[in-house]
Amino acid sequence: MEQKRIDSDVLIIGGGTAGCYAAMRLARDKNLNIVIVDKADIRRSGCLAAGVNALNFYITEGHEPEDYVEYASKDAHGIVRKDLLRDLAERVNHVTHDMERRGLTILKDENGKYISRGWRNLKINGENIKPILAEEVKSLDNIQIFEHINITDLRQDGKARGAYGFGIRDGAFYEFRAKAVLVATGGAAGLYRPNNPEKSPHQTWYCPFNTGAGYAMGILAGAEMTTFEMRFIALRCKDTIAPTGTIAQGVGAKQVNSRGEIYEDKYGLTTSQRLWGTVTENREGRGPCFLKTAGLDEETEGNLYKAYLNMAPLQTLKWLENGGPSEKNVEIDGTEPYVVGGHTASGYWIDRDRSTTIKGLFAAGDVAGGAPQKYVTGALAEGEIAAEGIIGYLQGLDENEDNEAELKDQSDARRAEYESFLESRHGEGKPAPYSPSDIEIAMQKVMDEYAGGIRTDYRYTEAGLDTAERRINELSELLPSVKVNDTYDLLDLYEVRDRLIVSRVLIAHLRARKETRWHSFQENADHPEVNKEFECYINSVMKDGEIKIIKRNLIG
Amino acid sequence: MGVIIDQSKCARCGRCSDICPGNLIRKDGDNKAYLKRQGDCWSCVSCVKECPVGAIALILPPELGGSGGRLTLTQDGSVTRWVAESARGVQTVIVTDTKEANKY
Repeated sequence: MEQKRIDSDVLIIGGGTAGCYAAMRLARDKNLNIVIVDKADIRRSGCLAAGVNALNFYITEGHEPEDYVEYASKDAHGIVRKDLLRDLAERVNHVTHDMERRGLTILKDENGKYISRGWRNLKINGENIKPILAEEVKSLDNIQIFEHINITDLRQDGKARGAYGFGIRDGAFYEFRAKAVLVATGGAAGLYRPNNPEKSPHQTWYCPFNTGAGYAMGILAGAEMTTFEMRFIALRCKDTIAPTGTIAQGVGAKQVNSRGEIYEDKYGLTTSQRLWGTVTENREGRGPCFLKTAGLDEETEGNLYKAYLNMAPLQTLKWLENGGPSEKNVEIDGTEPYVVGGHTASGYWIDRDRSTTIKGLFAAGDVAGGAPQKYVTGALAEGEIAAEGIIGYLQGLDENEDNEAELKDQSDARRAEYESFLESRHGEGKPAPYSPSDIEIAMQKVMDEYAGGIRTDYRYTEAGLDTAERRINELSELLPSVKVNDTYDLLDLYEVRDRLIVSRVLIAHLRARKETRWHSFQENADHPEVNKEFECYINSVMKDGEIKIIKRNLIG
Repeated sequence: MGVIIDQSKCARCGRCSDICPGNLIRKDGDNKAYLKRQGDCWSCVSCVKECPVGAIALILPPELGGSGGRLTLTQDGSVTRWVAESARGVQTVIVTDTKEANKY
């Protein structure tokens, strides 16, 4: 492999909402050189590729940031970092106004005031939110962007000093050297068997290309993680897996069962309870379940068609093919579970400056834990906070203390690993009967069956987790013998590696929470009730290949 | 299932391959675009928006309720003209504009 070395002051892994916004804040210091590296093209990479149609974290008039902190805390049954949420709540309005100035369209009344969808949501047209951010970072001289490069591991000697990866297109080995690193890769989809595994496995809620890489590189480097067991499972339009909020909150459609009964009040209105209600109605023989839209007027329907084209166009196509929401109620269903810190509290255990437990490594957006209901504006705000944290860190950094020998060995080992996978394509070495996708399908089956997937209505038992753990370990051991033809296959392989690592940690977290804190999201069938003893964070650290669980007291 | 690429229209420009968030679109021996694995597409339509010759369409597979229709689009500045065409050839045109916020 050709070797390429790129030096900068700050390396940002992932050019999404949090990463781009952090870069914009850092770039205000003209002495800083910033590098963004992304697996794809930052104009459309990650979870907002198709767009987003609301900003769900905004403090409207008559409300205070603390209202949001309380709302998110209640929704998560108390397992949140209020300090982190508060930081975000105090900044979301400022980042919203900034994005509007940069070209994001927000719905306003004739007096120029935002029209909200509920007390914390703004209606926007976010089809072009990624192109807006990409254009902005591309216009700044002290930001360099490297695309189509997959980062697999951190470069670190006790302090984060960059990262290693390979060029998906040019096949080169990349060594990024930096004084500080921000991980902003997004969360993890594709751990569990999806809703449509045969022909449309990637018709998922969360971006299927967000494979948990950011978590995995941190776990491997010994970073502390928090609350992985608070999985996110989205309640979606069935089959297309398109958003429901636009219909539920936008036009006020209620959840009804097959008998036409509104069931949502029976189960509670938190995010997990809305899902659990639907799962239970189905299980008890009152499904399928719907959002009651039949009878909507034509104008509303036309506006829904447009709203979905701006974020999930497949849903509009489905309506045009099968009959629109004015004609038929919209069937709803739960997705497979995800690990995603923009919606739940899972991710890196961070401090208020968004530093992780590894010096020089910062986290923002979906990879950062503690602050659920972060959404797009929370990710922007967190990117900005992390940028300020990095500036503070760089000011106190002694530049001449890196461990050169250790870093040289690390670099050689990474490169040797990529090369050994690629060499198997020539038929040398071990026989390679499996493809990366074979391992991925096997992993998803294991997680579905034994770690609370769709098959068991999201419930799990500790005995099942034991099986899941054993099978995930066995599958991980198969990786070195997997068949790889080129760097695109190598990308597939590392995506599976990352998912297997995240799955291992997730299983350990699910086992450690010996209660049921959130129905469906974390439903431990051996311990079906809430237990006050678990009013704490479940954290973990991987050391010498073993996962150690740490319980930490709640932080107000 | 996701998008389908009509190779007879492909202009070999590579823009779809650049933009795909999953690195799914490759070029064949004739430099024309193809999807590495059909099932890996997320239906985000980034490639449909990038294609200068309208060679890419979004389709709904039968298992998700599709009956042969396809969705294509053309863009002019902030305006996108979406065309859904049913299997029987009936067209529905919807125009969106990023300068107009969604109503819901």
